[in-house]
Amino acid sequence: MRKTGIKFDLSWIYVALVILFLFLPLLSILFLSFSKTIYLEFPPSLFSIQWYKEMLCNKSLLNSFFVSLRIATTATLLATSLGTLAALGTRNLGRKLSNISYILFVAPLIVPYIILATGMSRLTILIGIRGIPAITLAHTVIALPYVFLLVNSGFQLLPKSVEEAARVLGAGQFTTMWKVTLPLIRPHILVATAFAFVASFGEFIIAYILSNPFANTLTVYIYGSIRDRQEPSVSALLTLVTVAVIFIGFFYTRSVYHQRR
Amino acid sequence: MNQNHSVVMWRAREKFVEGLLALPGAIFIIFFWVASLIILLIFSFFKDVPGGGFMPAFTFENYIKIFTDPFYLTILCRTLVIAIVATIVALITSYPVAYKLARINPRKADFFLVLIIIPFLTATIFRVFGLVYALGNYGVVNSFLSYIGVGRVKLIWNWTGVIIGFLNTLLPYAILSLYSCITQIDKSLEEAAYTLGANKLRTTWHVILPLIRSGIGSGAIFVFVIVMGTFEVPSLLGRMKSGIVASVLIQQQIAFIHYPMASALSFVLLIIVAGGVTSFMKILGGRIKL
Repeated sequence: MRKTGIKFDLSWIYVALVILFLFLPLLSILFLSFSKTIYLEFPPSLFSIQWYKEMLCNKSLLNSFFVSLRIATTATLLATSLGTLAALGTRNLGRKLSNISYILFVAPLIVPYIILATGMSRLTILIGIRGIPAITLAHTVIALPYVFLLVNSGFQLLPKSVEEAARVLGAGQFTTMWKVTLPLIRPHILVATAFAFVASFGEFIIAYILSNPFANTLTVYIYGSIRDRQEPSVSALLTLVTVAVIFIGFFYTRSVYHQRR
Repeated sequence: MNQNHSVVMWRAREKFVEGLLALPGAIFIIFFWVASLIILLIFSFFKDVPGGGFMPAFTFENYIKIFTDPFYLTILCRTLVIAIVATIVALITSYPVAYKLARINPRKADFFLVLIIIPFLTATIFRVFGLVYALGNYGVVNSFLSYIGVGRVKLIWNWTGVIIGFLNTLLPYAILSLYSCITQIDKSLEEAAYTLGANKLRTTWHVILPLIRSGIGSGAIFVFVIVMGTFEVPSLLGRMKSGIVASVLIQQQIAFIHYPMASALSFVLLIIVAGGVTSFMKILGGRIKL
């Protein structure tokens, strides 16, 4: 009895340590944003909002944030519509075609983004787009596999009989799709949009290679900031972004669960 | 008979129409992703002009250089070693967590999974920013260590930093893919092993691990692929100017503009990654799932 008790404690301590390690960067960003000092010290000297004030004056930081937001929103909309259509179109294909389409739609996920970035940097020059549109298109490519896979997993849970019932009752092919299939997999589409947005918003390497002085995303800005200077005001923005992500994620999961019931 | 035939035709047409829905996405991927790869392949045979620029040609010079020049061989090996070490360390570190969470009641586990997913949703570069302030020479961990009298330790800007950085960004992938597999194992299998006299280690090795092979496979694929292509972690936490393939690729494009060489190197990287992924799939099985 005693022995199992000790084992129980040890494994919980391990789990707690791993979770603490995962949260270490977020916690240090949070404390830094409220600290009075330029470095994060122990014990931290709180409490000051000077970095938040500085953030609001930092035009290039705020600008890069809005560039990221624009790119991520457009890429998410594109990837969600293309990916959902692709998942709808490929679910009843024959075995061979289905395998080919699976490889085509999932491959961008398992090939390192730096390879896509290297190719895209030349492709975008050839077709004459650059900056924000180029990054948006590349981000759509990397977000599409997430949407495809998540929506596909929705179809696998969907019983065929539901759609068949709609057809038997006289609904056409597209009416069934629009009124029955899509509403039923809406939770999966919602989760897919979240994944697509996160994939684009936090992507660094493609944005770095395709960026120019007028198209710096937040990630590219932060890379420069870590490499070249001490800029604690970045932590203020990151704290706000993280809080927003957690907040939105919370309501997202709640609404998804709600729809499932 | 005739009517039957027309029903078949109608079904086939409907299927065809449904298949057309996948076309825009397929064209998009072919036009941007497949085309990018084709461009890389073509340019990798072009001739590099010293001082920047390229000449259309068909030469294997770039590939020969990659496999003979010690500079390229070193970075290729180094990248592979980092990727393999990070994959193994990530899987070993995450297994106990995944196992623990799979064996408690699901409601409790959900809470911990949320805790694991929250940092997972923040971008790698954001976490690197936090890690620099946490582990740097004047960071909070070192400040704490000197506060309690241990003294400062160099945690980042070396190899330790690179591995710590990769673990921090990739542990959630490994934990989640192992977790989803372990939950599907019937607990009675383990109990049977215990009853038959196997200890914890033997049970893990002979019963659980063979059953979660596909989870190990998909976790390994995620970690391996991401490490092979990530630039910000080695660059910022390791301060390695030309340490790995990704950083050399960036240098060649942005600083030196050796596009044919960068294309050839990308292609070699692609082949290594494809080899890694297929061997993980062959050995461990499993399709990529989300």
